[in-house]
Amino acid sequence: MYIFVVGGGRIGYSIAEYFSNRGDKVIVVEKNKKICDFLAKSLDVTVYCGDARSIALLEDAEMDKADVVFAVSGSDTVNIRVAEIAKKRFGVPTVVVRLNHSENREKALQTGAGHVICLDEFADVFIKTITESEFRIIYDRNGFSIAEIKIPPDSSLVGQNTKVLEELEVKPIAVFRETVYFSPTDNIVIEADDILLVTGSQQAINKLKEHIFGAV
Amino acid sequence: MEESQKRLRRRIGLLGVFSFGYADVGAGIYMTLGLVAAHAMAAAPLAFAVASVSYILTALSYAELSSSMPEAGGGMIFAEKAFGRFVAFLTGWALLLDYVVTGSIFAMSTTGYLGHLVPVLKQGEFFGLTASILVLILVVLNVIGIKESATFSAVLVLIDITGLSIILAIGYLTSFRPFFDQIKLGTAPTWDDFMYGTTVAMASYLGIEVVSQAAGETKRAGLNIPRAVKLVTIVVVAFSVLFSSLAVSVAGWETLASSEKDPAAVVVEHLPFGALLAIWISIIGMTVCYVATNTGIVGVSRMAYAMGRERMLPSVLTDLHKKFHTPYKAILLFAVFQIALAYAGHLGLAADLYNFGALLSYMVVNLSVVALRIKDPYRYRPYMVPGNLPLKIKNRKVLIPVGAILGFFSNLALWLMVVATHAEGRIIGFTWLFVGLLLYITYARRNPKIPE
Repeated sequence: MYIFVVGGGRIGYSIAEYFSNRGDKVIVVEKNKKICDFLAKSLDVTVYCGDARSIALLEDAEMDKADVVFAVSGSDTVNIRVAEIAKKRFGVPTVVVRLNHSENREKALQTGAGHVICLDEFADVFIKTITESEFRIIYDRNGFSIAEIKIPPDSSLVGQNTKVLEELEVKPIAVFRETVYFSPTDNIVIEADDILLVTGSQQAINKLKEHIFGAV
Repeated sequence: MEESQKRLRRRIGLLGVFSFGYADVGAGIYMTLGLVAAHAMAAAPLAFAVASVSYILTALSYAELSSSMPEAGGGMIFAEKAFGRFVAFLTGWALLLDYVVTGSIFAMSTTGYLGHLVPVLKQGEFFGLTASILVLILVVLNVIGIKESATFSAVLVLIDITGLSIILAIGYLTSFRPFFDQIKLGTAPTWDDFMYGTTVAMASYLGIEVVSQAAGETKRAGLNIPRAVKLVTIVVVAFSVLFSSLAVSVAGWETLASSEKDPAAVVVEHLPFGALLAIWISIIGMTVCYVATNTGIVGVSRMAYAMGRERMLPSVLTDLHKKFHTPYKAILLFAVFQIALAYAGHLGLAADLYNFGALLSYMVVNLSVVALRIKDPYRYRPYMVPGNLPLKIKNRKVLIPVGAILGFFSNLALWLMVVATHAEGRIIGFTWLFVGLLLYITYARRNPKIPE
């Protein structure tokens, strides 16, 4: 595959490194000469040094032959412009856009780019390492969900039989306790740190979450 | 142009690619010393020095091009990017001549040094016969698909460099006497002879093309190829000038001139422990030259295969052997020429032909640097040829590489010298070009590359 990366910073570098190690043909466009030098000497990629918005440069770099364009520079404006050129002028099949601000998502999608990734939404990833350690939706389709719940020690469910979950309109699928697994047909008394897999409608699951962890 | 090394794993590091290049170039001094002395007389070291200027400029051009195009290398690829299909074909065709000659000329050197140990092989008919048998052995090995290991190359290079260094040390410490009063430029040698000697010296500075073609398989090519090129150049130029100086000093140019088949061994005989050192250097020389012979055979098949893939030559050349998976048709077709040339046993003619092709392709490479600065200015070049003049062309700021232009002219001068002074080389060289032109018109032009 012919991978075209615009922006040679942390993200662009990692992308270029991955695909060039895999054996694909990789081109990186970068503005800063020192970074260009670093890229050319530490990775097996072709480097074009200059402003990625220049059509002359992109033509020389043969963007028209690219299979994928990653518009991942540090500037949303540049990335959106590059995506537009890639899609509308060169007809690149797959374009992935990086945005710093998710407010620009609509504009990015208008270029025809198939994938838009917003970095400010990555704060969520950090937050969820804490919040999702206790409650995680692992299936969510057609109005039904399956949730994975780690029972906190102070929960009202501790000491109760799993049958109480049916009053909350959810069905237990399994209970995991350390190295042991229980099916719902067993008569189980919920203990602290148990991991419950439950299923039910999306509303019921949300209500269960509020019931255990309080409203968000 | 299709990158024929698409998913080749990058395995070779700096030492590997240096060994690759040196194994080819390093063999040169073993081959040309006698021939150069035959023309440049006592000014032989000067001939090597002058030739090295042209070589260095060309090597730096190769460094710029290879490091900025890490996916594939070689003069043909650069020519295509710079000038298009026709020039690419001519360059490939000239390089093909070079590889054919490389396969033969180093077989002759190998025989020469083998002949130092087994003197009968150097005489008359036996010389050509042995050389052609040596070629045949390698041809068979290549058809079967036995590959030269990178480790073997690296070890050989190490032994060669160490061996030569020791001999140089012994020579300079014990036997070197200045001989510069013997040089009377203009009379002995005449300017014509001196220039001709320089062109022959140029034949020992090959192999940079080989380094460049390895770019596609080299790890961190942008960093390592320029380093390898510079390293090879420094080591080879130093050895050539130092060894040729030592040679003239201890053996005298007349002795050298009459030992064109095994000059290095003859030189070393004049040093303390001469007989022993001569055997040692003959063994090293033999091995290094045989490796260079193999470079020629491998190079021919690779080049023919690449041109076949580009449909510049009939695609029958890309046919692989059912069992061995080698491009045996390409190997065998050109092996005929290599064996014939080796059998003829004419070292001088082979050197002329070599220069005819090499200097042409070097000229194209030098010009490609200039052309690509204009055509592809935004491409980042981790290494740039020295001497850059900023100019404005078509409203773009372009840096004109003075070094590459000088390289072009120096190669042109040497090429014209070869063509003007040696009839056999000129006739065969132009015949080869003419055949190539016919092939292009009848085949390559009618068969554009199949788009991927």
